[in-house]
Amino acid sequence: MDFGFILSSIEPVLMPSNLLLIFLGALGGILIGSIPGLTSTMGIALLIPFTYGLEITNSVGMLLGIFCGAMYGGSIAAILIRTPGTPAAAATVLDGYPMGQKGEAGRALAVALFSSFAGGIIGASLMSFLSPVISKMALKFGPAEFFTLAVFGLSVIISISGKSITKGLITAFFGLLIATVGMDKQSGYMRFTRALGLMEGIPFIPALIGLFALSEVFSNIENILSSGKVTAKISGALPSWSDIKRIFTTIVKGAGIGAFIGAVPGAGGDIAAFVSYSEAKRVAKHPELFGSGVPEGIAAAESANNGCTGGAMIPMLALGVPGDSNTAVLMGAFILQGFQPGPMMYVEHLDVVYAVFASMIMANIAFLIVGMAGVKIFAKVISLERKFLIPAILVLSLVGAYAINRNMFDVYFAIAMGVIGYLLQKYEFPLSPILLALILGPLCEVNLRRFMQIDNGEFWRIFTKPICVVFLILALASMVTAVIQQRKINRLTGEAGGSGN
Amino acid sequence: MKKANIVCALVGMIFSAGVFIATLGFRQFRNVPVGPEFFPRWLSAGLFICCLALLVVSLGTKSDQAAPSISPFDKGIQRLLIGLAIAIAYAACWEPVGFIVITPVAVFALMFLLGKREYRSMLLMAAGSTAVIFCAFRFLLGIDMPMGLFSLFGI
Repeated sequence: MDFGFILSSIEPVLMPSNLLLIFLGALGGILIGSIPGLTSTMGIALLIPFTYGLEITNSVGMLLGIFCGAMYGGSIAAILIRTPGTPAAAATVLDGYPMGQKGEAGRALAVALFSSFAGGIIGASLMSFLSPVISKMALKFGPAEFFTLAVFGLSVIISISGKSITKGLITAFFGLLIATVGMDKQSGYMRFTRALGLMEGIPFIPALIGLFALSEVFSNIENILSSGKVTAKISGALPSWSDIKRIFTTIVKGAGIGAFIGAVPGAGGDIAAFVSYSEAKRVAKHPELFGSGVPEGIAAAESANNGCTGGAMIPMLALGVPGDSNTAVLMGAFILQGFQPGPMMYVEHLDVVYAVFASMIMANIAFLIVGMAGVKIFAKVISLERKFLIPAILVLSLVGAYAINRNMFDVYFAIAMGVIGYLLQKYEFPLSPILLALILGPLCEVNLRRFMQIDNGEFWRIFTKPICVVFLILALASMVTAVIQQRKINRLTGEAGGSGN
Repeated sequence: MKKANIVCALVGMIFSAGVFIATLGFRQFRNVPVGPEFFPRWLSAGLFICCLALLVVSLGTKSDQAAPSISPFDKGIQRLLIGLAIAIAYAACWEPVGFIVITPVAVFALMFLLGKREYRSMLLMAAGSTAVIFCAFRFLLGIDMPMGLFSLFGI
């Protein structure tokens, strides 16, 4: 390994002007990520025109700042207003919001920030050292492997169902069903409706905003007089030493899961975060506390979605295949600058590859610093009087739903999903399985049908593929352990209730 | 909660049965092992089975705590329905009236509905939140919000 060459390659990354651009990118990314309805993809796409005249190092540094910053920024809205700022922060809601409601919003934000940073650094390091190896594995993914990956992702539903697995499955089936509405991508057949706004299927971001933000707004309007003011305790911008020790293993594991799932083209931070959350719950000493606001829940989700940023870069750089929508837009930025990502990149432009690795590390450091400066400001949001906050959240949610396609249908759809979410929540049906189903349902269906088409309808052939078998075993293990765990939780809570009586 | 669970299970069963029947009318494609009807049909069957399980379990359990009410005579529900009407009317006014004009009105109305009566701070909050959200989306993110009446003046 030529260390002199590596040092000369990363030198431009450490120039003050480049660092400033990375910091600006991280700040913009955090802002974009924290606004529900705005995604990092949109942020990167918006900024690409501003990077035309920049050097490749400056351009990629700034865009990576947005990518990493937005991935963390999603957790801010998830913790404070129960709305994942980005789909990747959906699993953060599960423990982040309850923690905020307990008056520990500052602690939750600090855990999210540290876990995102550590996950991002681990993911970027894995990207640097393992990209040639992982990219070879990712290349082996065909429709059958994607289908079983989606099945594995869906197996997580049981562990995020809360008190009633039956109710969790009902909402999951409901989510999977509504994910089939609209034009069938393979045959062009319109399923269930010809409504213009639903042609392309259920609008995902408005659905997410409706289910999580508007349902909470409606619930607050109903119960405003009985809800007290929540004050956020803020002891520091970073978690305490005892919290760091507590979440350390979860972070390392989450980052690994994130980097691996991110490296699979088509699988993003949202899936990684749920899988990591489920794994953290599975191995926890007290799984019954998950969902009530434990730092491990936030750490698992945030380390995985930020670990994913490094993972998603692997197939993009090594194969020229973007791992997700963010890297697809980033790839566009590379091409605009005259660089074609792919295997030849490691031969012809190794200096750029090293510069990208260094920029990724710097982007993570940048959002850590910006996030540390902002934790106190973000946490203040929750201390605002609810009678002021709720109308503002309603407006922001509707604007977020509108912003994606600039389409009024999406706004009304978000309101409708808000009503459905409010009713489901009122009768103790968990909402997270719907979200997971909306993410994984189309992936599952499209790949199953492709696989069946290729293999002439012989489903059994899936058991002859080693990667598929591994995913199916993991899915089965995940479901069985989740059921056993839920029984244990129900027994423990039953005993606690009994002793209480 | 027992009654509520039974009602929810029955609603789910009717919904899933309706979906299943709808899939029977889907066009059949030849030479396609898995057609567009396959997923919705199996998923509706799965939903039906889960709802049936909820119904059976609920029928077999003793009545526990009371389910939360959705009666229109409940004060909280009345407030919610008014809030929902404000949200729908607010969205409906974006295009004809304009985001800048209607947003402070909607924010003010919602604060009033929530029981706030400090009119000066309510006005400030309504105007301030509108300005911040509008400027952030229009100038920072380049997203044009519907201008309604203002578009008549070329804004």
